[in-house]
Amino acid sequence: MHFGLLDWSITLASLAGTVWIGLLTRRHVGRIEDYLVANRGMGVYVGTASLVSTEIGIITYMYQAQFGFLAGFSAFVVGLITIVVCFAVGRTGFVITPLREMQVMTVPEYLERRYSRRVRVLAGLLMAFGGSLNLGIFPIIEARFLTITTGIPPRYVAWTMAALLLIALVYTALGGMLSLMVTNYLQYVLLAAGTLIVTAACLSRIGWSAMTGAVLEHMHGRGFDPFADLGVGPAFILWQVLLWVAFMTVWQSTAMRAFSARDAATGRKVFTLTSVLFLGRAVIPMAWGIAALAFFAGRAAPAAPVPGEVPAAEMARVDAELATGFRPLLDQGRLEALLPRVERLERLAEAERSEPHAQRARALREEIGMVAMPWMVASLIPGGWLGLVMAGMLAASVSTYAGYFLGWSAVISQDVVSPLLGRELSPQGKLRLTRVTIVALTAFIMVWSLVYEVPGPAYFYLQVTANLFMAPTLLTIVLGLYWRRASALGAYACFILGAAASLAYLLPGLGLSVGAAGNLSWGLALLGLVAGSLLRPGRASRATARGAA
Amino acid sequence: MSWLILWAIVFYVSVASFALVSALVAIGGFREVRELFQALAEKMRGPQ
Repeated sequence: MHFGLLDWSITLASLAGTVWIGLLTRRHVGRIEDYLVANRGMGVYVGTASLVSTEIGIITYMYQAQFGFLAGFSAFVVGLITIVVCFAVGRTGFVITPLREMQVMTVPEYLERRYSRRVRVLAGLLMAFGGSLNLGIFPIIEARFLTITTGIPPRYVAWTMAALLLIALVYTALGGMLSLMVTNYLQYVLLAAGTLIVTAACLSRIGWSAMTGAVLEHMHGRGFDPFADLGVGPAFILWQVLLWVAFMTVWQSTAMRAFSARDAATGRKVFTLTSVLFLGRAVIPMAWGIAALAFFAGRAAPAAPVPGEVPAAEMARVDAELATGFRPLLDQGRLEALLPRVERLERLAEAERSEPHAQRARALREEIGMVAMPWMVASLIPGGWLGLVMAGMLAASVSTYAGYFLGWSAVISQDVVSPLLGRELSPQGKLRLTRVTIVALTAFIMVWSLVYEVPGPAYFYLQVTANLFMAPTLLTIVLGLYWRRASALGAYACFILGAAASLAYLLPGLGLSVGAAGNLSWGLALLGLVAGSLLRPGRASRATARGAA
Repeated sequence: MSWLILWAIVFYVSVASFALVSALVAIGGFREVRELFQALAEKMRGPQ
């Protein structure tokens, strides 16, 4: 561990600079439009920086690296899906252009114009619920990165996270989207520098051939073909295509960038430019995960069997050793000592067809995968450079918190509280409500982060909690725009069925794979919308369907 | 083309395009932030 004084100085100076600039924008914020959509004055480059830095945090690097560690190069297919979908949305303006032209500030706002106020509230509630669950695991996962790379003792990590949240809270609550756009620009420059430094270190110190060699040797023949791999596979790929279309169009923090653009054309350009960066957002940290596998596997000695021991006895012994020794070795970063034992347990469980042992081995590999990248970064990056990387990582995280706080609090205040009050709040009232919601959201995620244990890979959890509301939201918007018979009854059924199917993945007793749960969610949501609309059809005129008053 | 070659191309294209577009965003973004603040300052000075 060599996170020294110089590293701390660089990190703290970058944070202080960001907060100072964020607070400078406060005096320019007067109306709710200034606050939520920056008076719709965002240009292409600032918009791109803002969108990308909001959607890249330490959490992104952690879960993408874990996915790369677990799925190898097959994980890269997500990057290809991302660039194709983002580019297509940018070129066609699919959904984002009609919404931008309607001058809405949140996605559910359209649902009230098209269906009813109650549909808007239901959508807002599910968005707030799914978004909070999604955001709720960020601090605990990011805390692991910080503990490992900076050497902050685990007992202070909760305070460190609280301080980071507070930083994001202060300038977001005061400066809103305007503050976000300016700080996001600075944060983007820092995070891009940090990303390139870590990538250069992976390539120069570990190398591409060692990475491919590690996948060939340690993934039991998997890790290259995404259509054949367990955990990825065709169902997962289909679901990812659907989910990324929704992510690029109705994910609140993404959609807010389109709403904040100077005009619809600028919004489309932002998405086109972002597509290239979103490819890197997926592939680069996934490659770090593969590099971490190569780094630790290259230092490992194979687990030696005891002479004369039968496989069943060996499996029980390795399992017992891991039950007692896993946690201390993981906390010390001695992953090279853990990997061979976990791999041995996997092979023995497969040979003996023992599902409980196979499940335990999978869970242990997932845990190793979550911390392998930060341990590699702490070992590979020299002092001074590590400070720059940390400045980039923290900038990424603070911008993500800030963007998500603003996005979800906008939904809670604009689409849940205000409609339920049944009266239009004054601009100052809306601003106050949004700020209070941001504080409440912060309190929730601090608590959730401490009490909830994520099932399976973090990537899957995050995607499922997003899918919970994104599948029904996209379907109700698309059919609302292009199918006049789409009705409020169909919209209710769509949201309830889509959310229920996604939540099924989070109930381990059901044993649904992530791809199956995701596709089921889309299928049921569509079925609910069509069936409900045929049962009681809407009577929207063409103008109403497109959201005109 | 094997999967290995495809993933190598995807990785190197990702890194190169990330670096290039990041440089573009850094330069273009600086100009836009300056213009944004100028516009906001003019708006605040103007009649309410």
